[in-house]
Amino acid sequence: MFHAEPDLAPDSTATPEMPFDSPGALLAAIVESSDDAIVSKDLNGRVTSWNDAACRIFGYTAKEMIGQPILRIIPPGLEAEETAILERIRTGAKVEPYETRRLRKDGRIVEVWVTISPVKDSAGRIIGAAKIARDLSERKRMEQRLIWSEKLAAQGQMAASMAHEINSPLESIINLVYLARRSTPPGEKAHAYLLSAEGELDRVAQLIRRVLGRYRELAGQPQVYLHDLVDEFLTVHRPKLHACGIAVDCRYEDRRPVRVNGAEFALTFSNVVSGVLHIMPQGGILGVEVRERTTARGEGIEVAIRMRAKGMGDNLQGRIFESLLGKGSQSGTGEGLSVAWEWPERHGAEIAFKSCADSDAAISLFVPFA
Amino acid sequence: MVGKHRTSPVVPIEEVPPADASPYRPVVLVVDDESAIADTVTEILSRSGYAAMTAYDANDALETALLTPPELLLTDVVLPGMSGIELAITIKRIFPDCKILLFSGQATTLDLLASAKNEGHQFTLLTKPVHPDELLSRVAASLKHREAHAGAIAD
Repeated sequence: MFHAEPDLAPDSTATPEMPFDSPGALLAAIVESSDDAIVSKDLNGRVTSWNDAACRIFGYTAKEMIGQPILRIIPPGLEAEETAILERIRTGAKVEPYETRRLRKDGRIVEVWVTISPVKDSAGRIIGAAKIARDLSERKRMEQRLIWSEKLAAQGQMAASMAHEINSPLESIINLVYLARRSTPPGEKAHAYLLSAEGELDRVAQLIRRVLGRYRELAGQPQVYLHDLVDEFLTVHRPKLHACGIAVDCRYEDRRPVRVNGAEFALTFSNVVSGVLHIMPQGGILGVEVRERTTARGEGIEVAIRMRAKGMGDNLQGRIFESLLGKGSQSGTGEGLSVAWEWPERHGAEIAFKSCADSDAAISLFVPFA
Repeated sequence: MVGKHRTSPVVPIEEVPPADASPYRPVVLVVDDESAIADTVTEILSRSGYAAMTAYDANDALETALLTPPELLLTDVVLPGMSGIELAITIKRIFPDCKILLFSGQATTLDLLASAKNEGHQFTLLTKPVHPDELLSRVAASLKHREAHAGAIAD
């Protein structure tokens, strides 16, 4: 039935044909097609060869690099690393693989895993070094995502155990203070104290409910009005926004609930807003509009967040990206977007950035009706 | 005139309600393994004119219920041994008219509630901490329907 089999047989036994003139050409082809950057340098640290992957990872072409000092791709502060490598190579020792950072042509830092070995000529003299660099960016990103999702899970677990640990004693205290107040004649000072104590306890209870209630919803997803979630968040954070000179302008026009995980929505929204705080150090206007919309994903509710920063004329959009993606900084706000990316995936929801004028920017969170 | 459930629950003398309160004192069974909660809730209900009884676990609660049938069971969901939901289902089997209010401070409760729902039981869940005022209004609301019903019979 299968005619391929007899056809294949002679092929597999045939002597492989050598498409290259010499073993050297074969090696060169291997180097060129490698996914890892393979570069060589002389003992003075000047580049002698530069493959395609090196070009892709570091951004420089072979033409730009050959003959140039390898120091070009060493980030400031790590120059000593190169000196140490060259010293080690001169003694004929191999440099054990290690993780480090290199500088791309566009100024970005790239995380790499490098292995460096001495290169000898036919007489056995050390004439330079060969370096293999593997781009770790993708792996790092995966690691980061894993850490983020674990963090989120851990937060949820912590919240759940906190709920039990705190709520039970809190319930007792609330009851005891209530009973104490009811046992004290209204005119007495103690009665007034107990009344204030009850007020404060109520605040604690509300705060805990607000934080933990969101995690409780992880178990089941009730229908919620997005403006409730947004409003609750803004109520809590209004003093902070106000202190940062950010005026909040809300408009709620959604009349239908959506089925959404409140905890995750709140986290996404809060991360977007904390990103906003970062990019508007001199204050500005934060507009939040919750409305019904029809998109390619169908009918749903859109939370449109508009920002107008004060005193920063240019490129707010770029700043938002940087702030949310955490590019170039180790700030926690990068986490926000990771959650923001993952969250819509699981809900058929969508997060989008919109281009506006330079001092304006907009982010849209869209949740379809289930 | 009155149902069997209204007959003389044991009430400590200091918990006798003020003279202006209605002589009718609905029996409420309070179950929580945290004695500080069970005791305070019982006291709060007693002061508000209910005949409240306390139990610290489900077995204790069943024994108490068999001696004095409750009109309302107010139970924590997470109890040692039998859960509050299992207790509620059992009590419902014995006393179909008994009202149920569950309260819980744990996030895992929703799973348990979902399984109760599968068995055809829909219970009201209060989330800890519940302020006494809210608790009292929930208890009153749960018993309201029953009172009206009992009133109709009495008429």
